Amino acid sequence: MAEVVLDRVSKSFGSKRALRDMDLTIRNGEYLVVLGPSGAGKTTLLRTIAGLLAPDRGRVVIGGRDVTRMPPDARGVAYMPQTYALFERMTVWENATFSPTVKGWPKEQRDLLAREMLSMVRLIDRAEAYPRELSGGMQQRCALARALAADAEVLLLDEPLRALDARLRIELRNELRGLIQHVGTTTVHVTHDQEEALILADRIAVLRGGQLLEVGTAEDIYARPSSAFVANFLGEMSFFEATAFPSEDGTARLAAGGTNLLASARAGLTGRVLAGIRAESCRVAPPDWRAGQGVEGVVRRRLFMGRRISLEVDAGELGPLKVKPLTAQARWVREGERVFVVMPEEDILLFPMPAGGVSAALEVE
Amino acid sequence: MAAPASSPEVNTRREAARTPSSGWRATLLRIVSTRWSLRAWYGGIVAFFLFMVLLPTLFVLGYVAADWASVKAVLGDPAKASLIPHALWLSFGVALTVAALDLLAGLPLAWLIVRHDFRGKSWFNTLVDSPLAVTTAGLGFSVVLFWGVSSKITLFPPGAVHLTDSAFLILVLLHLTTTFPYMVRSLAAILEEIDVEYENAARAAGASRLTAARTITLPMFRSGMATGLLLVLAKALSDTGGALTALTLIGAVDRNEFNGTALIGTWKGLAGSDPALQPALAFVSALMILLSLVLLVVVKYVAVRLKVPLRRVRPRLERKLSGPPYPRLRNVGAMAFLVVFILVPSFFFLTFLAVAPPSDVNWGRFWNAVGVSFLVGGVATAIDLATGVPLAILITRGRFRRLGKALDALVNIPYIVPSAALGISLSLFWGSQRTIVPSDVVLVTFAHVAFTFPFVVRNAVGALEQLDPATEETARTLGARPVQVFRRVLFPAIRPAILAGSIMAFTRSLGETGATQAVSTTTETVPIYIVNLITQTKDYYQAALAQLALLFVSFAAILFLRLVLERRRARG
Repeated sequence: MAEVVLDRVSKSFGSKRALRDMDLTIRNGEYLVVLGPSGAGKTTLLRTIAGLLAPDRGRVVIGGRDVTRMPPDARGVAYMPQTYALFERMTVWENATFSPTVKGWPKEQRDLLAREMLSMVRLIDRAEAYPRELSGGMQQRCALARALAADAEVLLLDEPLRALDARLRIELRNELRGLIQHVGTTTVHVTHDQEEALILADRIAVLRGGQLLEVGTAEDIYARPSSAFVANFLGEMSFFEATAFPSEDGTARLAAGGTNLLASARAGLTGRVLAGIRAESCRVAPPDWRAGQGVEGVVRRRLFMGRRISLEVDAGELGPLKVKPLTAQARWVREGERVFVVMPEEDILLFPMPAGGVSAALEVE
Repeated sequence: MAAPASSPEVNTRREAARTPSSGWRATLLRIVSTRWSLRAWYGGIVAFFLFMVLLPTLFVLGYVAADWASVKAVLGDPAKASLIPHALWLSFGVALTVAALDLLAGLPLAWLIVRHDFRGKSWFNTLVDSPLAVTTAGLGFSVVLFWGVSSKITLFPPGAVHLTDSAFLILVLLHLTTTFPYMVRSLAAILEEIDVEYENAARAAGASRLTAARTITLPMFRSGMATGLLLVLAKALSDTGGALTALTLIGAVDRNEFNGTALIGTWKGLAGSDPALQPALAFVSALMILLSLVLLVVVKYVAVRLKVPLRRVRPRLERKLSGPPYPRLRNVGAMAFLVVFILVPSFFFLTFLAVAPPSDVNWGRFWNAVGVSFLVGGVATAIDLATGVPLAILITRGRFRRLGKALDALVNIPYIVPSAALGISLSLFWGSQRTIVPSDVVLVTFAHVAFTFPFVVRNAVGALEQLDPATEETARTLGARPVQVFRRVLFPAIRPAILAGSIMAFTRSLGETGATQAVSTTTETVPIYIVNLITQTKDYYQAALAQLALLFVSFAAILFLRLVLERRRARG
């Protein structure tokens, strides 16, 4: 266990700046998920900590030691790449004992540790198997056991769930968290899947274009994202431009198109703002019901998704709105019909108007 | 997830595990893992490649340029100068013809091997490769025995064709047997890589079988064709033993008709008594080297980019050709070619043993030659391994991309250069350094290292490119030092490819005549022993018997090598 500190770390590949002056502290024993679209610099960040890439500038400090110039084998980290990179010609047992063996630990300790880790990931019965004989989920657990058996101070996981199919991914997601919590190792987990991030993370760090946008607990970031990009990346949002008039009681009156809405005010935000609401926070009602504040519109598209229904509602001057009500509540909605979209006051988020335009601010690539 | 409760041992082991290991092994590991020792090691490897392989190979070019006056004097002698153009034609014209024929016949056969499943397929594969087991000198004898008209051989076995005594034709027929397996192998290897789904998709879109194969699959293995062509050209251009025996037997040598390598071989034999031939030798070698380099560039970098004018589709004709009986005809044709042009001519010398009156074989001389061959081949292969594998790592994993690419291209040079010319160049390079090269056997070994080196490097590079770099990176973060990564992760993964490369290098060394002859007139390896039996003492029975014995010896050797390496794998 150790604290990891990135101190103004920069790394470029040719003209592409993969990391820009990154300052990030990963607390001792913390499970940090680095979230961002592809090309955000997530893997570069991980490989820089691992020592597989040398930063152009800045320092990497692990457990108080400046390791910037140290080779990977001296850093006390364990790296698990997307492909797992299991050693094909070694058995599960040999994979798990690899790290203790190359570090020259006494045999008894090595065996004890490997056995413990393999039992923990429930592979002790398959110790003599070769990686190619294992299922995808077993391979992932084997790679995890190998990394844990390194007894590293920091565990670096690069999209550890990506290669699995959807159902298994959800299953192993929960398991992964339990295992690592049990061992208590400081962990950096990289992913582009926001759901994975929300579920696993003690804290989430959101990256974009090589820059750190925000760090915080999942609930904080989800409820109070600092930028429209982060808000949108954590869950589908509809945005519209509005003029905000903050009042004394902590709310702000919004004038958007011909509609007036109330929202929780945000310090310093007044005048032209960008307002947004999550598709899942909106409900729908028949146009004459008027159940709370909201806006009327015409349903342009309706997709049944099982538990929820995905609607695209043309809300006139407010623009198109994405709405995902529960199926039980919106079963009656048909394409071409008028509906009233309910937008609860506490779910409307306000952001400063981005200088480069809304679509550029939200762009994922 | 229920995890076992943390045992009290867990905490103690964490402490104990951290204690650094000591002892001489750990110390050694620390020393060889420092950045400086790694740099020194890689620097040494590159230096080895440049000074032991590349420079000796190309030295003759500089030599000729520097001593142009004596070359000019030789060219003034029409008796010598007139031989050169014809020799070049018999080398390059033959090589290109053979390459074209190999490609045409090899394609359907490779297709048959890869896309069809039939019983005894592995046997069939072995059969296709079998001519490689015969030395080219043996093949030269065998091919002339089958196809040739020869006044030297008084007794032909029944079944001999007596087709021709034309040097060009005989050389083409000879080199079909020496090269065809290479072409089939490389085409089949690439075809194996190409997903059948592409063809299925094309067929589902309405293309006939032939159209799909022709327009979708064929363009995809242009690079495989280039590899196959290079192998074939290199082999055909390099061969000396086969050409010397075949040209001697059909009387071409008496008519003063040589190909490039046979000319080098013959002049080298005379150069001892006629020093004036030395510049001529150098000149021919330089020409051969230059022309093959041109060929290398053309095939590797130009031919691959050429657009094949096969875009036009004639649906009805091609559909008709896709249906019965044409595919069967194609398969039968390919098999017939294999049997008539490759297998029977390659092993026809065995029939000679049945009909010819036995004569006493000098087994002492035979085993002596076997000893020399194995010593040279074994040492050369060992040197190839020790230096070629690190070079391959440097090429694929080095920090400097450009250096890697340059080395990758340069490695091909000693391989395409005709080995006889390489031998001349090498002996000129080391000729004045008799302190470094005390004996002929050492010089011969150096020569064999130079032309077998590419086999090990190429194979290792191929395997390393297949290997996910993440494997090594993960090993590094798990605490392995570079040397440990190599020993525990990298080497086990590329061992099969290295084994294949070593076998190729070793067998190539075992069958080599040109380079050996060019650097030493006294060292007698097995192929040279066989060539001498045929061209000098005219003892064909002995030659055929020696060839047969060699077949058994090399088969046993390869089996032994495989067994040793397999056992090590089982243990490790």
